[in-house]
Amino acid sequence: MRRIAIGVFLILGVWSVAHYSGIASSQMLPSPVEAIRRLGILLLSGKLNPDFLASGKRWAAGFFLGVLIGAPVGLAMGHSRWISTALDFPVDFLRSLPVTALFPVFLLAFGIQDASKIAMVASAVAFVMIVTASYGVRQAPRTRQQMAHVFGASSWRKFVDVVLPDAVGQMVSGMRVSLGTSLVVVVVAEMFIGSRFGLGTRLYDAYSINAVPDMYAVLVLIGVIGYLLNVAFLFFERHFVFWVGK
Amino acid sequence: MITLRNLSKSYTTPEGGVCAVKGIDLTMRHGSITAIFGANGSGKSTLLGLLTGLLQPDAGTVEFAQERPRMGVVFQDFRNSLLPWLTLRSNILRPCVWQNQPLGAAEERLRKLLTVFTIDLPLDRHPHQVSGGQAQIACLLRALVIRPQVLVLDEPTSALDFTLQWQTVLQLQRLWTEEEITIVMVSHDPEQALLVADRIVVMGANPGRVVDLIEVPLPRPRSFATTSTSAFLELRDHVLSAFDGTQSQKANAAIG
Amino acid sequence: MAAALIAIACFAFFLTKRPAPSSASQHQSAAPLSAPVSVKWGGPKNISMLPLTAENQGLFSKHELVATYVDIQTGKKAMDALRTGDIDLGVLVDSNLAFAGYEQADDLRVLACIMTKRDDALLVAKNGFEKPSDLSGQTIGVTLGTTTHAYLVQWLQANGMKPSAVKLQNMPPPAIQAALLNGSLKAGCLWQPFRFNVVAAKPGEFTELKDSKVYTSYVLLVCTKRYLDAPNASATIANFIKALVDAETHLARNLEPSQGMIAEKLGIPSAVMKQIWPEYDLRVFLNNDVLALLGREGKWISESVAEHMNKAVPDYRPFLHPQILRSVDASRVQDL
Repeated sequence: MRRIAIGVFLILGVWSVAHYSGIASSQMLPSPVEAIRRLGILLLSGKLNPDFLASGKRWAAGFFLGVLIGAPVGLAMGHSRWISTALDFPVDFLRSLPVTALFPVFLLAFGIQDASKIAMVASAVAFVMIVTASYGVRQAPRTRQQMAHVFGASSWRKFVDVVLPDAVGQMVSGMRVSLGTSLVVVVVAEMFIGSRFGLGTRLYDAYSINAVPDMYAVLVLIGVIGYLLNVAFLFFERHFVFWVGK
Repeated sequence: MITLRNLSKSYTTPEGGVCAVKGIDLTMRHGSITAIFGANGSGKSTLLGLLTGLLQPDAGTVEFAQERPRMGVVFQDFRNSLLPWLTLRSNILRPCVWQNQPLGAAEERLRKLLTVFTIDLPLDRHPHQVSGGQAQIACLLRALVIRPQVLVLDEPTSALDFTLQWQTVLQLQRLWTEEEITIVMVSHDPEQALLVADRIVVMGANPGRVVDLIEVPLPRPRSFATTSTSAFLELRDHVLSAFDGTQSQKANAAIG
Repeated sequence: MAAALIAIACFAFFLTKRPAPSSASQHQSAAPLSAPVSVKWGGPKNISMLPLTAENQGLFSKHELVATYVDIQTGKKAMDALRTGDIDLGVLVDSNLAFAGYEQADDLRVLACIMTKRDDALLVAKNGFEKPSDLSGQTIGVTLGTTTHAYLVQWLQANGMKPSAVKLQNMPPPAIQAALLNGSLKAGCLWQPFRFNVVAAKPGEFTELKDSKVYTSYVLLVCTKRYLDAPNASATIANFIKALVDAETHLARNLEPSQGMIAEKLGIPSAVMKQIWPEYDLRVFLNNDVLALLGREGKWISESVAEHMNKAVPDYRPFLHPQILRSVDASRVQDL
């Protein structure tokens, strides 16, 4: 807890110094007290509830869709040299394109409703999952697969009992890595594509109408959500995928 | 009976081709214990790989008297052969699942083996929670629980302390007596090898080949006391001499 | 810990020290200027037609200015750039100032109006639309805090509808354009050339609800109070305004080639530029109409924008600084 408190105070300290020293214009950077106070008001009034729920729904749908798409593709690429060779170029090409910069493509393809934002999140997550899943398969100790072979496991049992659990460890790590990315993408998608509700929408609205304390209040909330998601995932990893790295 | 005929296997490395084993001719009688002894790089693990079917030979054949036997294997890299997401118990019994053996009988067999080896193994822990020695014993039990016809052991006691090494080897001999398993084991300890084996195969490197075949006609059952008999010591000297010969050849080859 | 924070603050301070206003770093002497002075100005191209003309005709250097243009996508971002010191003079629109009034920061000064524009319009898909009340409950794409926001609110009010009767979806103009074209939005408020792009791509499919009586936007030349207080700033600004006045004259005498030049800068066909030209009036002035508009906008912000609901409407008078324009040409300042 003490280490967490040090980190929090470090951020607040630097922020305060930037505000009170005049390094940043007070119109551009309110004090942390003002931003947090404003966040408190927004949370207690319930005004951010629909935004939180809307972003949460989009994030969850996109995140898990990305996992569902990316994991099997990655497993296939890791398991089969033929598939890997065939897909290496398109995967590396597409994942090098910054997904947030492709928002016009998603907008044109999926419209301005949730589908475009969910698709953007899913794309960002899917490529991380493809890479981690295929890495998980390729980096799995060969001895385990040899052991299964020698002890008479069928190809299917080898995959399910040995290859998949090994890869799952890496994939879960990949999921944790893509937590932050997916949160960024959903916020940016809401900002650029637009929506009625969403934390990104609220952020962009606040920026557009110069409600700067509100803007920073939402930013703080997004940061806290990201941190808590990460903590939750670490807990999940430690308890359910405890063998990673062992 | 297992017959290796003119077995050869090479690998390609960045530096060029390496002949791991060449022209291996070897017969292992049914129910015998064959120990393989040799320096690093003499092709011992390659030979085991060819025997278990994990490697395919470039030339030669591995022949079994009848159909391919049920094999139990203890890998040199025993830690990585365990599945870290399973408990030791599940790891040990997993091959029975793969071979569709009834789990009840397998559990009973495991209980018996634990008694034979007088081991107190924390079966409900995961591999990363146990010592190297406990993990290696678990691998040995896994190889034995399926009632193998052939047992292939690659340095099966390397992680055990001195006492446990000898204890394990002696218990293995006892089990072998009861169950008529054909055992092929790689050992870096000539005395342990002599204690259990019917025959010692001394291998030399560059290329990996059989340098000497030493029969071990010591009476059974053998015990720790056997190691102080003159016959045992003579055989040990023979093994070491054969091993030294391979080292001299290696040194001469290096000097060119 | 405290030492670390102090070290970080010092490092950040020297790294991000705001540049002093350009004229303060140049040859400091009493007016008139004796050597070319650097000035950085910025804003969206589509509302910077006069200064772009001045730049193209070398009118800044004629008035002993080395003027550097910074292309900034929106008036709001230009306002931010003024505050961070990245530009000395910004080209903004009235709605930017209207919202800025609610920040309780007396840091911006309007030096002149350099254009009036009536190019905001509400585009509505014809299918299912017959009268304004058909928009009730609809989602309308709009860029909050801009002239399209101001236009939309005032258009709705002029047509007997409350802004709360529709759902405003805040989107940048390219996103609104794309959404209208692919049918995921039925209505959107846009300025040129986005309006033109939609209508040209889907001829006959959209109704353009354009009413210049409802709203005329003022494009404003703005600086910060801090810049204004810098030495020689008044002389620099005066020369900048003179260049704009000369550009105004040049445009009047060379309309077609000027339209072509501006069209090229904006990346639109000359024919399109000609077509939409009547929606703009390029003229340097400052009068009470600007102040009145800011007041009206301040009022609808107070009535319709949740974050500022029921707040007192700001007094926008202190924003206006007509003195320099008056010194250049008094006839261009009226009722102030």
